[in-house]
Amino acid sequence: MPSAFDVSGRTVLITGAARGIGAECARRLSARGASVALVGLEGDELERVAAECGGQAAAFEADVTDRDQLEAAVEGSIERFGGIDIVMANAGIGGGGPVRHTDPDAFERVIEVNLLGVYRTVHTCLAQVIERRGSVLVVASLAAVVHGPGMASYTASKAGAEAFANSLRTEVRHLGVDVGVGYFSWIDTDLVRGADDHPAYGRFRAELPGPSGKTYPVSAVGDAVLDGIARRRRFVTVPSWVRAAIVLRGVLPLLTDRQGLKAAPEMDAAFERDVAERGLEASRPVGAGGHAASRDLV
Amino acid sequence: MAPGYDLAGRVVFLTGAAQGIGAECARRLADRGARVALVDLGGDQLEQVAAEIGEDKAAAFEADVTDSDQLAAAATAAVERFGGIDVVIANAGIGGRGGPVRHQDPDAFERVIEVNLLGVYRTVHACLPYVIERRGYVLVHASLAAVIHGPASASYCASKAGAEAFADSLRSEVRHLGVDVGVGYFSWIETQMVTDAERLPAAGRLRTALPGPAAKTHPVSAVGDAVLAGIEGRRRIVCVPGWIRVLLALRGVLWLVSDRGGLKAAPELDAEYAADAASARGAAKEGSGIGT
Repeated sequence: MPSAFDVSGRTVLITGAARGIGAECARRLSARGASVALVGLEGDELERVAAECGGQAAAFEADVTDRDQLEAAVEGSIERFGGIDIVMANAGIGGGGPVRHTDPDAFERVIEVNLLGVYRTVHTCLAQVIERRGSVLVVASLAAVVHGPGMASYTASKAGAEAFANSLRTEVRHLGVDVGVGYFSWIDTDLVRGADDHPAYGRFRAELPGPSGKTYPVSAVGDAVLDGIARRRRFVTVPSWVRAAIVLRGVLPLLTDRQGLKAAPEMDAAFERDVAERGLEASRPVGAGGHAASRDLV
Repeated sequence: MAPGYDLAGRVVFLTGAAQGIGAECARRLADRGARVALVDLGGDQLEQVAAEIGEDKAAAFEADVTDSDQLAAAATAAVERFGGIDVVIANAGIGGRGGPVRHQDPDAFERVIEVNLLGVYRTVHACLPYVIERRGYVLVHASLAAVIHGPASASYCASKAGAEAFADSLRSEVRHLGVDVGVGYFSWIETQMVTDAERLPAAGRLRTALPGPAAKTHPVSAVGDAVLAGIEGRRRIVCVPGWIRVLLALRGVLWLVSDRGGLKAAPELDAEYAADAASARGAAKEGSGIGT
Protein backbone atom coordinates (compact mmCIF):
# COMPACT_ATOMS: atom_id res chain seq x y z
CA MET A 1 0.00 0.00 0.00
CA PRO A 2 1.40 3.46 -0.90
CA SER A 3 2.26 5.90 1.85
CA ALA A 4 -0.82 6.85 3.81
CA PHE A 5 -2.50 10.23 3.78
CA ASP A 6 -0.68 11.96 6.63
CA VAL A 7 -2.96 14.08 8.82
CA SER A 8 -0.04 15.99 10.26
CA GLY A 9 -0.40 19.63 9.23
CA ARG A 10 -3.87 19.03 7.80
CA THR A 11 -6.96 20.78 9.05
CA VAL A 12 -9.98 18.71 10.10
CA LEU A 13 -13.38 20.23 10.81
CA ILE A 14 -15.48 18.07 13.14
CA THR A 15 -19.10 18.67 14.08
CA GLY A 16 -20.53 17.32 17.31
CA ALA A 17 -17.06 17.76 18.81
CA ALA A 18 -18.18 18.62 22.35
CA ARG A 19 -18.69 15.01 23.36
CA GLY A 20 -18.42 11.35 22.53
CA ILE A 21 -17.06 10.28 19.18
CA GLY A 22 -16.43 13.83 17.98
CA ALA A 23 -14.36 14.81 21.02
CA GLU A 24 -12.42 11.53 20.93
CA CYS A 25 -11.55 11.95 17.23
CA ALA A 26 -10.54 15.58 17.78
CA ARG A 27 -8.08 14.58 20.52
CA ARG A 28 -6.67 11.69 18.52
CA LEU A 29 -6.29 13.67 15.30
CA SER A 30 -4.68 16.50 17.22
CA ALA A 31 -2.19 14.07 18.76
CA ARG A 32 -1.22 13.06 15.21
CA GLY A 33 -0.43 16.68 14.36
CA ALA A 34 -3.67 17.76 12.70
CA SER A 35 -5.25 21.15 13.32
CA VAL A 36 -8.81 20.66 14.49
CA ALA A 37 -11.81 22.97 14.13
CA LEU A 38 -14.32 21.87 16.76
CA VAL A 39 -17.91 22.65 15.92
CA GLY A 40 -20.85 22.07 18.25
CA LEU A 41 -23.68 23.46 20.34
CA GLU A 42 -22.08 23.47 23.76
CA GLY A 43 -19.50 26.28 23.90
CA ASP A 44 -17.95 25.43 27.27
CA GLU A 45 -17.59 21.76 26.43
CA LEU A 46 -16.01 22.61 23.07
CA GLU A 47 -13.46 24.88 24.77
CA ARG A 48 -12.64 22.12 27.23
CA VAL A 49 -12.03 19.63 24.39
CA ALA A 50 -9.98 22.24 22.50
CA ALA A 51 -7.79 22.72 25.59
CA GLU A 52 -7.33 18.92 25.88
CA CYS A 53 -6.22 18.78 22.26
CA GLY A 54 -3.15 20.75 23.14
CA GLY A 55 -2.00 21.48 19.60
CA GLN A 56 -3.75 23.60 17.03
CA ALA A 57 -7.39 23.53 18.05
CA ALA A 58 -10.20 26.07 17.95
CA ALA A 59 -13.83 25.91 19.04
CA PHE A 60 -16.70 27.27 16.96
CA GLU A 61 -20.18 27.27 18.41
CA ALA A 62 -22.64 26.44 15.62
CA ASP A 63 -25.88 24.53 15.17
CA VAL A 64 -25.93 22.13 12.20
CA THR A 65 -29.61 22.95 11.68
CA ASP A 66 -28.54 26.50 10.77
CA ARG A 67 -26.64 27.02 7.52
CA ASP A 68 -25.55 30.56 8.41
CA GLN A 69 -24.00 29.42 11.66
CA LEU A 70 -22.17 26.62 9.85
CA GLU A 71 -20.89 29.05 7.25
CA ALA A 72 -19.58 31.32 9.99
CA ALA A 73 -17.82 28.34 11.62
CA VAL A 74 -16.24 27.34 8.31
CA GLU A 75 -15.11 30.90 7.63
CA GLY A 76 -13.68 31.09 11.15
CA SER A 77 -11.79 27.82 10.59
CA ILE A 78 -10.35 29.02 7.30
CA GLU A 79 -9.26 32.29 8.89
CA ARG A 80 -7.62 30.45 11.75
CA PHE A 81 -6.03 27.50 9.91
CA GLY A 82 -5.86 28.62 6.29
CA GLY A 83 -8.28 26.04 4.88
CA ILE A 84 -10.02 22.71 5.46
CA ASP A 85 -8.64 19.37 4.21
CA ILE A 86 -11.03 16.98 5.88
CA VAL A 87 -14.59 17.35 7.07
CA MET A 88 -16.02 14.89 9.57
CA ALA A 89 -19.81 15.28 9.69
CA ASN A 90 -20.35 13.65 13.04
CA ALA A 91 -23.01 15.61 14.94
CA GLY A 92 -25.91 13.32 15.70
CA ILE A 93 -28.72 12.77 18.15
CA GLY A 94 -31.04 9.87 18.89
CA GLY A 95 -34.24 9.19 20.72
CA GLY A 96 -37.88 8.69 20.10
CA GLY A 97 -39.46 5.30 20.50
CA PRO A 98 -42.11 3.62 18.35
CA VAL A 99 -43.45 5.92 15.63
CA ARG A 100 -46.90 6.00 17.16
CA HIS A 101 -45.62 7.18 20.55
CA THR A 102 -43.01 9.66 19.31
CA ASP A 103 -43.61 13.39 19.44
CA PRO A 104 -43.51 14.58 15.80
CA ASP A 105 -41.24 17.52 16.61
CA ALA A 106 -38.73 15.15 18.21
CA PHE A 107 -38.90 12.81 15.20
CA GLU A 108 -38.26 15.64 12.76
CA ARG A 109 -35.44 17.09 14.86
CA VAL A 110 -33.49 13.83 14.52
CA ILE A 111 -33.76 14.04 10.70
CA GLU A 112 -32.88 17.74 10.81
CA VAL A 113 -29.66 17.13 12.74
CA ASN A 114 -28.51 13.71 11.52
CA LEU A 115 -29.36 13.98 7.83
CA LEU A 116 -29.85 17.62 6.85
CA GLY A 117 -27.11 18.62 9.32
CA VAL A 118 -24.69 16.22 7.65
CA TYR A 119 -25.60 17.59 4.23
CA ARG A 120 -25.18 21.21 5.38
CA THR A 121 -21.84 20.47 7.04
CA VAL A 122 -20.43 18.74 3.98
CA HIS A 123 -21.90 21.26 1.54
CA THR A 124 -20.43 24.18 3.46
CA CYS A 125 -16.94 22.65 3.53
CA LEU A 126 -16.94 21.00 0.11
CA ALA A 127 -15.32 23.74 -1.96
CA GLN A 128 -12.41 23.83 0.51
CA VAL A 129 -12.04 20.06 0.59
CA ILE A 130 -12.06 19.91 -3.22
CA GLU A 131 -9.43 22.64 -3.43
CA ARG A 132 -7.16 20.59 -1.20
CA ARG A 133 -8.09 17.21 -2.67
CA GLY A 134 -9.00 16.11 0.82
CA SER A 135 -11.67 13.81 2.17
CA VAL A 136 -15.12 13.64 3.67
CA LEU A 137 -16.17 11.34 6.51
CA VAL A 138 -19.88 11.00 7.20
CA VAL A 139 -20.63 9.37 10.54
CA ALA A 140 -23.63 7.13 9.91
CA SER A 141 -24.24 4.09 12.10
CA LEU A 142 -24.97 0.38 12.06
CA ALA A 143 -28.54 1.73 12.18
CA ALA A 144 -28.12 2.69 8.50
CA VAL A 145 -27.93 -1.05 7.79
CA VAL A 146 -30.15 -2.67 10.44
CA HIS A 147 -33.50 -0.95 10.87
CA GLY A 148 -34.92 -2.01 14.20
CA PRO A 149 -38.02 -0.94 16.12
CA GLY A 150 -38.18 2.07 18.41
CA MET A 151 -35.73 4.14 16.42
CA ALA A 152 -37.33 4.92 13.07
CA SER A 153 -36.17 8.54 13.01
CA TYR A 154 -32.60 7.43 13.77
CA THR A 155 -32.48 4.61 11.20
CA ALA A 156 -34.07 6.87 8.55
CA SER A 157 -31.62 9.67 9.23
CA LYS A 158 -28.58 7.38 9.18
CA ALA A 159 -29.66 5.44 6.07
CA GLY A 160 -30.22 8.81 4.41
CA ALA A 161 -26.81 10.10 5.47
CA GLU A 162 -25.15 6.95 4.13
CA ALA A 163 -26.92 7.23 0.75
CA PHE A 164 -25.98 10.91 0.58
CA ALA A 165 -22.33 10.01 1.14
CA ASN A 166 -22.46 7.21 -1.43
CA SER A 167 -23.85 9.51 -4.11
CA LEU A 168 -21.36 12.22 -3.23
CA ARG A 169 -18.48 9.73 -3.48
CA THR A 170 -19.16 9.08 -7.15
CA GLU A 171 -19.45 12.83 -7.80
CA VAL A 172 -16.13 13.97 -6.34
CA ARG A 173 -13.71 11.12 -6.99
CA HIS A 174 -12.65 12.75 -10.27
CA LEU A 175 -11.85 15.88 -8.29
CA GLY A 176 -9.46 13.96 -6.06
CA VAL A 177 -11.77 13.77 -3.05
CA ASP A 178 -12.59 10.53 -1.22
CA VAL A 179 -15.71 9.95 0.85
CA GLY A 180 -15.99 7.54 3.75
CA VAL A 181 -18.89 6.43 5.89
CA GLY A 182 -18.64 5.51 9.56
CA TYR A 183 -20.71 2.53 10.69
CA PHE A 184 -20.58 2.13 14.43
CA SER A 185 -22.47 -0.20 16.72
CA TRP A 186 -23.15 0.76 20.36
CA ILE A 187 -20.30 2.99 21.53
CA ASP A 188 -19.76 4.13 25.11
CA THR A 189 -20.87 7.76 24.61
CA ASP A 190 -23.34 10.13 26.26
CA LEU A 191 -25.82 9.27 23.51
CA VAL A 192 -25.76 5.52 24.17
CA ARG A 193 -25.66 5.99 27.95
CA GLY A 194 -28.69 8.23 27.53
CA ALA A 195 -30.46 5.48 25.60
CA ASP A 196 -29.53 2.94 28.30
CA ASP A 197 -30.92 5.23 31.01
CA HIS A 198 -34.19 5.66 29.15
CA PRO A 199 -36.94 3.90 31.12
CA ALA A 200 -38.47 2.27 28.03
CA TYR A 201 -35.53 1.89 25.64
CA GLY A 202 -32.82 0.73 28.06
CA ARG A 203 -34.45 -2.61 28.66
CA PHE A 204 -34.63 -3.43 24.94
CA ARG A 205 -30.94 -2.63 24.50
CA ALA A 206 -30.01 -4.97 27.37
CA GLU A 207 -31.84 -7.85 25.70
CA LEU A 208 -29.98 -7.75 22.38
CA PRO A 209 -28.19 -11.05 21.77
CA GLY A 210 -24.42 -11.60 21.71
CA PRO A 211 -22.13 -8.97 20.22
CA SER A 212 -25.06 -6.91 18.90
CA GLY A 213 -25.82 -5.82 22.47
CA LYS A 214 -22.22 -5.13 23.46
CA THR A 215 -20.95 -1.61 24.09
CA TYR A 216 -17.56 -0.75 22.59
CA PRO A 217 -15.13 1.88 23.94
CA VAL A 218 -14.99 5.23 22.16
CA SER A 219 -11.21 4.74 21.75
CA ALA A 220 -12.01 1.96 19.24
CA VAL A 221 -13.78 4.56 17.10
CA GLY A 222 -10.78 6.85 17.47
CA ASP A 223 -8.54 4.05 16.14
CA ALA A 224 -10.89 3.29 13.25
CA VAL A 225 -11.30 6.94 12.25
CA LEU A 226 -7.53 7.60 12.29
CA ASP A 227 -7.01 4.54 10.10
CA GLY A 228 -9.98 5.45 7.88
CA ILE A 229 -8.72 8.97 7.22
CA ALA A 230 -5.11 7.83 6.73
CA ARG A 231 -6.16 5.22 4.16
CA ARG A 232 -8.99 7.31 2.75
CA ARG A 233 -11.29 4.36 3.33
CA ARG A 234 -14.83 3.91 2.13
CA PHE A 235 -15.93 1.89 5.17
CA VAL A 236 -14.97 2.84 8.72
CA THR A 237 -16.42 0.27 11.12
CA VAL A 238 -16.51 -0.50 14.84
CA PRO A 239 -16.46 -3.32 15.70
CA SER A 240 -15.14 -5.12 12.66
CA TRP A 241 -18.12 -7.54 12.41
CA VAL A 242 -20.13 -4.55 11.19
CA ARG A 243 -18.29 -5.05 7.90
CA ALA A 244 -19.90 -8.48 7.53
CA ALA A 245 -23.30 -7.01 8.33
CA ILE A 246 -22.84 -4.49 5.51
CA VAL A 247 -22.00 -7.18 2.96
CA LEU A 248 -24.96 -9.31 4.08
CA ARG A 249 -27.40 -6.42 4.47
CA GLY A 250 -29.67 -7.68 1.70
CA VAL A 251 -30.50 -10.86 3.61
CA LEU A 252 -29.82 -9.67 7.15
CA PRO A 253 -33.49 -8.81 7.91
CA LEU A 254 -34.20 -12.56 7.82
CA LEU A 255 -32.19 -12.69 11.05
CA THR A 256 -32.55 -9.29 12.66
CA ASP A 257 -36.30 -8.86 12.17
CA ARG A 258 -36.95 -11.75 14.54
CA GLN A 259 -35.33 -9.95 17.45
CA GLY A 260 -37.15 -6.71 16.59
CA LEU A 261 -40.53 -8.39 16.29
CA LYS A 262 -39.98 -10.23 19.57
CA ALA A 263 -39.08 -7.07 21.46
CA ALA A 264 -41.66 -4.75 19.89
CA PRO A 265 -44.83 -5.49 21.91
CA GLU A 266 -43.15 -4.94 25.26
CA MET A 267 -41.27 -1.88 23.98
CA ASP A 268 -44.52 -0.44 22.67
CA ALA A 269 -46.22 -0.87 26.04
CA ALA A 270 -43.23 0.57 27.92
CA PHE A 271 -43.18 3.70 25.75
CA GLU A 272 -46.92 4.08 26.11
CA ARG A 273 -46.53 4.10 29.90
CA ASP A 274 -43.57 6.46 29.67
CA VAL A 275 -45.48 8.94 27.49
CA ALA A 276 -48.38 8.79 29.96
CA GLU A 277 -45.98 9.61 32.78
CA ARG A 278 -43.57 12.08 31.21
CA GLY A 279 -45.34 13.39 28.12
CA LEU A 280 -43.07 14.94 25.49
CA GLU A 281 -39.97 14.21 27.56
CA ALA A 282 -40.37 10.50 26.78
CA SER A 283 -39.46 10.87 23.11
CA ARG A 284 -36.96 13.70 23.49
CA PRO A 285 -33.46 13.05 22.04
CA VAL A 286 -31.40 11.39 24.78
CA GLY A 287 -28.15 12.33 26.51
CA ALA A 288 -26.61 15.74 27.13
CA GLY A 289 -26.00 16.33 23.41
CA GLY A 290 -29.55 15.31 22.55
CA HIS A 291 -30.88 17.65 25.20
CA ALA A 292 -28.71 20.51 23.91
CA ALA A 293 -30.20 19.99 20.43
CA SER A 294 -33.78 19.89 21.66
CA ARG A 295 -33.94 22.64 24.32
CA ASP A 296 -36.76 24.39 22.49
CA LEU A 297 -38.95 21.27 22.28
CA VAL A 298 -39.78 20.77 25.96
CA MET B 1 -52.42 -16.74 -5.92
CA ALA B 2 -55.77 -15.88 -4.40
CA PRO B 3 -55.82 -12.45 -2.84
CA GLY B 4 -55.44 -12.71 0.91
CA TYR B 5 -56.60 -9.20 1.61
CA ASP B 6 -59.65 -8.19 -0.40
CA LEU B 7 -59.64 -4.57 -1.52
CA ALA B 8 -63.38 -4.30 -2.04
CA GLY B 9 -64.84 -1.76 0.36
CA ARG B 10 -61.47 -0.83 1.87
CA VAL B 11 -60.50 2.80 2.29
CA VAL B 12 -57.12 3.80 0.86
CA PHE B 13 -55.50 7.12 1.73
CA LEU B 14 -53.09 8.07 -1.04
CA THR B 15 -50.74 11.06 -1.35
CA GLY B 16 -49.40 12.41 -4.63
CA ALA B 17 -52.64 11.22 -6.19
CA ALA B 18 -53.02 13.91 -8.87
CA GLN B 19 -50.69 12.30 -11.35
CA GLY B 20 -48.20 9.57 -12.19
CA ILE B 21 -47.97 6.54 -9.96
CA GLY B 22 -50.46 7.97 -7.46
CA ALA B 23 -53.21 8.59 -10.02
CA GLU B 24 -52.64 5.17 -11.58
CA CYS B 25 -52.92 3.43 -8.20
CA ALA B 26 -56.08 5.40 -7.38
CA ARG B 27 -57.82 4.26 -10.58
CA ARG B 28 -56.74 0.66 -10.21
CA LEU B 29 -57.71 0.46 -6.54
CA ALA B 30 -61.14 1.91 -7.32
CA ASP B 31 -61.54 -0.70 -10.08
CA ARG B 32 -61.07 -3.34 -7.38
CA GLY B 33 -63.82 -1.80 -5.31
CA ALA B 34 -61.74 0.26 -2.89
CA ARG B 35 -62.71 3.78 -1.90
CA VAL B 36 -59.86 6.23 -2.32
CA ALA B 37 -59.01 9.41 -0.43
CA LEU B 38 -56.93 11.34 -2.94
CA VAL B 39 -54.45 13.74 -1.42
CA ASP B 40 -52.33 16.24 -3.32
CA LEU B 41 -51.49 19.91 -3.52
CA GLY B 42 -54.84 20.59 -5.11
CA GLY B 43 -55.76 21.98 -8.49
CA ASP B 44 -57.58 20.69 -11.52
CA GLN B 45 -55.63 17.46 -11.97
CA LEU B 46 -56.58 16.15 -8.54
CA GLU B 47 -60.25 16.99 -9.11
CA GLN B 48 -60.09 15.34 -12.52
CA VAL B 49 -58.77 12.07 -11.13
CA ALA B 50 -61.51 12.12 -8.47
CA ALA B 51 -64.22 12.94 -11.04
CA GLU B 52 -63.00 10.21 -13.37
CA ILE B 53 -63.32 7.61 -10.59
CA GLY B 54 -66.67 8.99 -9.44
CA GLU B 55 -67.75 10.52 -6.18
CA ASP B 56 -69.14 7.29 -4.73
CA LYS B 57 -65.63 5.87 -4.63
CA ALA B 58 -63.28 8.86 -4.59
CA ALA B 59 -62.85 12.11 -2.72
CA ALA B 60 -60.13 14.73 -3.16
CA PHE B 61 -58.41 16.37 -0.21
CA GLU B 62 -56.02 19.24 -0.65
CA ALA B 63 -52.94 18.92 1.56
CA ASP B 64 -49.23 19.60 1.38
CA VAL B 65 -47.12 16.76 2.81
CA THR B 66 -44.70 19.34 4.19
CA ASP B 67 -47.49 20.50 6.53
CA SER B 68 -48.50 18.03 9.25
CA ASP B 69 -51.61 20.04 10.19
CA GLN B 70 -52.92 19.85 6.63
CA LEU B 71 -52.25 16.11 6.56
CA ALA B 72 -53.96 15.55 9.89
CA ALA B 73 -56.96 17.51 8.58
CA ALA B 74 -57.03 15.42 5.39
CA ALA B 75 -56.90 12.18 7.42
CA THR B 76 -59.75 13.37 9.65
CA ALA B 77 -61.79 14.41 6.61
CA ALA B 78 -61.16 11.07 4.91
CA VAL B 79 -62.34 9.24 8.02
CA GLU B 80 -65.46 11.43 8.17
CA ARG B 81 -66.19 10.75 4.52
CA PHE B 82 -65.42 7.01 4.38
CA GLY B 83 -65.63 5.89 8.01
CA GLY B 84 -61.97 4.98 8.53
CA ILE B 85 -58.66 4.24 6.79
CA ASP B 86 -57.50 0.68 6.01
CA VAL B 87 -54.49 1.38 3.84
CA VAL B 88 -52.16 4.36 3.53
CA ILE B 89 -49.91 4.76 0.50
CA ALA B 90 -47.26 7.41 1.16
CA ASN B 91 -46.47 8.09 -2.46
CA ALA B 92 -45.94 11.84 -2.89
CA GLY B 93 -42.42 12.50 -4.11
CA ILE B 94 -40.38 14.96 -6.10
CA GLY B 95 -37.21 14.56 -8.10
CA GLY B 96 -36.28 18.15 -8.63
CA ARG B 97 -33.47 19.19 -10.93
CA GLY B 98 -30.99 17.05 -9.07
CA GLY B 99 -27.36 17.78 -9.61
CA PRO B 100 -24.01 17.12 -7.98
CA VAL B 101 -23.99 18.28 -4.36
CA ARG B 102 -21.58 21.07 -5.17
CA HIS B 103 -23.78 22.58 -7.88
CA GLN B 104 -27.21 22.01 -6.33
CA ASP B 105 -29.08 24.85 -4.67
CA PRO B 106 -29.28 24.01 -0.92
CA ASP B 107 -32.96 24.94 -0.76
CA ALA B 108 -33.70 22.48 -3.57
CA PHE B 109 -31.72 19.74 -1.80
CA GLU B 110 -33.57 20.25 1.47
CA ARG B 111 -36.93 20.43 -0.27
CA VAL B 112 -36.47 16.89 -1.64
CA ILE B 113 -35.84 15.57 1.91
CA GLU B 114 -38.83 17.57 3.21
CA VAL B 115 -41.24 16.03 0.70
CA ASN B 116 -39.86 12.53 0.13
CA LEU B 117 -38.76 11.63 3.65
CA LEU B 118 -40.46 13.90 6.18
CA GLY B 119 -43.59 13.95 4.00
CA VAL B 120 -43.73 10.15 4.11
CA TYR B 121 -43.31 10.16 7.88
CA ARG B 122 -46.03 12.81 8.33
CA THR B 123 -48.44 10.96 6.03
CA VAL B 124 -47.98 7.65 7.82
CA HIS B 125 -48.06 9.26 11.25
CA ALA B 126 -51.34 11.06 10.48
CA CYS B 127 -53.04 7.83 9.33
CA LEU B 128 -51.44 5.33 11.71
CA PRO B 129 -54.07 5.27 14.49
CA TYR B 130 -56.79 4.60 11.90
CA VAL B 131 -54.76 1.93 10.10
CA ILE B 132 -54.01 0.22 13.42
CA GLU B 133 -57.70 0.31 14.33
CA ARG B 134 -58.49 -1.62 11.15
CA ARG B 135 -55.41 -3.84 11.22
CA GLY B 136 -54.53 -2.51 7.79
CA TYR B 137 -51.48 -1.97 5.63
CA VAL B 138 -48.91 0.80 5.09
CA LEU B 139 -47.11 1.17 1.77
CA VAL B 140 -44.17 3.56 1.54
CA HIS B 141 -43.07 4.42 -1.98
CA ALA B 142 -39.31 4.50 -2.00
CA SER B 143 -37.36 3.81 -5.18
CA LEU B 144 -34.53 1.82 -6.66
CA ALA B 145 -32.61 4.95 -5.59
CA ALA B 146 -32.92 3.70 -2.00
CA VAL B 147 -30.61 0.86 -3.03
CA ILE B 148 -28.31 2.31 -5.71
CA HIS B 149 -26.81 5.67 -4.84
CA GLY B 150 -25.55 7.30 -8.00
CA PRO B 151 -24.15 10.73 -8.83
CA ALA B 152 -26.18 13.94 -9.25
CA SER B 153 -29.04 12.59 -7.18
CA ALA B 154 -27.77 12.67 -3.58
CA SER B 155 -30.89 14.35 -2.19
CA TYR B 156 -33.19 11.88 -3.94
CA CYS B 157 -31.15 8.83 -2.88
CA ALA B 158 -30.88 10.09 0.72
CA SER B 159 -34.62 10.76 0.91
CA LYS B 160 -35.57 7.36 -0.50
CA ALA B 161 -33.03 5.40 1.59
CA GLY B 162 -34.38 7.24 4.62
CA ALA B 163 -38.00 6.47 3.70
CA GLU B 164 -37.13 2.79 3.31
CA ALA B 165 -35.39 2.59 6.69
CA PHE B 166 -38.33 4.39 8.31
CA ALA B 167 -40.71 1.79 6.86
CA ASP B 168 -38.46 -1.09 7.97
CA SER B 169 -38.33 0.16 11.56
CA LEU B 170 -42.07 0.79 11.57
CA ARG B 171 -42.73 -2.73 10.27
CA SER B 172 -41.34 -4.39 13.38
CA GLU B 173 -43.19 -1.92 15.61
CA VAL B 174 -46.71 -2.55 14.31
CA ARG B 175 -46.76 -6.20 13.31
CA HIS B 176 -48.06 -7.18 16.76
CA LEU B 177 -50.90 -4.71 16.21
CA GLY B 178 -51.93 -6.54 13.04
CA VAL B 179 -50.50 -3.98 10.63
CA ASP B 180 -48.16 -4.87 7.75
CA VAL B 181 -45.71 -2.46 6.11
CA GLY B 182 -44.47 -2.63 2.53
CA VAL B 183 -41.89 -0.65 0.58
CA GLY B 184 -42.19 0.18 -3.11
CA TYR B 185 -38.99 -0.02 -5.14
CA PHE B 186 -39.45 1.27 -8.67
CA SER B 187 -36.95 1.86 -11.42
CA TRP B 188 -37.65 4.47 -14.15
CA ILE B 189 -41.42 4.70 -14.64
CA GLU B 190 -43.11 6.59 -17.46
CA THR B 191 -44.48 9.42 -15.34
CA GLN B 192 -44.51 13.18 -15.61
CA MET B 193 -41.72 13.33 -13.01
CA VAL B 194 -39.39 11.25 -15.15
CA THR B 195 -40.26 12.91 -18.48
CA ASP B 196 -39.99 16.40 -16.95
CA ALA B 197 -36.51 15.58 -15.68
CA GLU B 198 -35.49 14.31 -19.10
CA ARG B 199 -36.35 17.63 -20.68
CA LEU B 200 -33.83 19.40 -18.46
CA PRO B 201 -30.45 19.82 -20.10
CA ALA B 202 -28.32 17.94 -17.57
CA ALA B 203 -30.81 15.82 -15.62
CA GLY B 204 -31.92 14.29 -18.90
CA ARG B 205 -28.68 12.35 -19.06
CA LEU B 206 -29.07 10.68 -15.69
CA ARG B 207 -31.10 7.81 -17.07
CA THR B 208 -29.63 7.42 -20.53
CA ALA B 209 -26.10 7.17 -19.10
CA LEU B 210 -27.06 3.93 -17.37
CA PRO B 211 -26.21 0.51 -18.81
CA GLY B 212 -28.71 -2.01 -20.24
CA PRO B 213 -31.93 -2.74 -18.33
CA ALA B 214 -31.12 -0.04 -15.79
CA ALA B 215 -31.91 2.62 -18.41
CA LYS B 216 -35.20 1.10 -19.53
CA THR B 217 -38.44 2.87 -18.67
CA HIS B 218 -41.50 0.93 -17.55
CA PRO B 219 -45.19 1.74 -18.04
CA VAL B 220 -47.01 3.13 -15.04
CA SER B 221 -49.54 0.30 -15.40
CA ALA B 222 -46.81 -2.11 -14.25
CA VAL B 223 -46.66 -0.19 -10.98
CA GLY B 224 -50.45 -0.39 -10.74
CA ASP B 225 -50.25 -4.19 -11.09
CA ALA B 226 -47.47 -4.46 -8.51
CA VAL B 227 -49.20 -2.21 -5.98
CA LEU B 228 -52.50 -4.14 -6.23
CA ALA B 229 -50.68 -7.43 -5.74
CA GLY B 230 -48.59 -5.88 -2.95
CA ILE B 231 -51.61 -4.71 -0.96
CA GLU B 232 -53.59 -7.89 -1.56
CA GLY B 233 -50.62 -9.96 -0.40
CA ARG B 234 -49.70 -7.40 2.31
CA ARG B 235 -46.18 -7.74 0.97
CA ARG B 236 -42.98 -6.38 2.38
CA ILE B 237 -41.44 -5.74 -1.04
CA VAL B 238 -43.30 -4.23 -4.01
CA CYS B 239 -41.06 -3.78 -7.05
CA VAL B 240 -41.05 -2.86 -10.74
CA PRO B 241 -39.42 -4.43 -12.62
CA GLY B 242 -39.11 -7.82 -10.91
CA TRP B 243 -35.31 -7.96 -11.11
CA ILE B 244 -35.10 -5.31 -8.39
CA ARG B 245 -35.74 -8.13 -5.92
CA VAL B 246 -32.40 -9.65 -6.89
CA LEU B 247 -30.64 -6.32 -6.41
CA LEU B 248 -32.20 -6.01 -2.96
CA ALA B 249 -30.73 -9.37 -1.91
CA LEU B 250 -27.33 -8.39 -3.33
CA ARG B 251 -27.34 -4.82 -2.10
CA GLY B 252 -24.36 -5.32 0.20
CA VAL B 253 -22.02 -5.93 -2.73
CA LEU B 254 -23.93 -4.16 -5.49
CA TRP B 255 -21.79 -1.03 -5.33
CA LEU B 256 -18.84 -3.02 -6.66
CA VAL B 257 -20.69 -3.01 -9.98
CA SER B 258 -23.00 -0.01 -9.82
CA ASP B 259 -20.34 2.54 -8.80
CA ARG B 260 -18.48 2.02 -12.06
CA GLY B 261 -21.18 3.61 -14.18
CA GLY B 262 -21.57 6.47 -11.74
CA LEU B 263 -17.87 7.21 -11.60
CA LYS B 264 -17.66 7.13 -15.39
CA ALA B 265 -20.60 9.49 -15.87
CA ALA B 266 -19.69 11.87 -13.04
CA PRO B 267 -17.16 14.21 -14.72
CA GLU B 268 -19.48 14.93 -17.64
CA LEU B 269 -22.53 15.32 -15.38
CA ASP B 270 -20.53 17.69 -13.21
CA ALA B 271 -19.62 19.87 -16.21
CA GLU B 272 -23.17 19.84 -17.58
CA TYR B 273 -24.74 20.81 -14.27
CA ALA B 274 -22.14 23.55 -13.79
CA ALA B 275 -23.10 24.99 -17.19
CA ASP B 276 -26.79 24.51 -16.44
CA ALA B 277 -26.47 26.26 -13.06
CA ALA B 278 -24.60 29.16 -14.71
CA SER B 279 -27.25 29.60 -17.40
CA ALA B 280 -30.05 29.30 -14.82
CA ARG B 281 -28.40 32.06 -12.81
CA GLY B 282 -28.21 34.13 -16.01
CA ALA B 283 -31.88 33.48 -16.78
CA ALA B 284 -32.88 34.34 -13.22
CA LYS B 285 -30.99 37.62 -13.51
CA GLU B 286 -32.91 38.46 -16.67
CA GLY B 287 -36.11 37.83 -14.77
CA SER B 288 -37.29 34.90 -16.85
CA GLY B 289 -37.18 32.47 -13.90
CA ILE B 290 -36.58 28.75 -14.00
CA GLY B 291 -38.85 25.78 -13.67
CA THR B 292 -38.72 23.60 -10.61
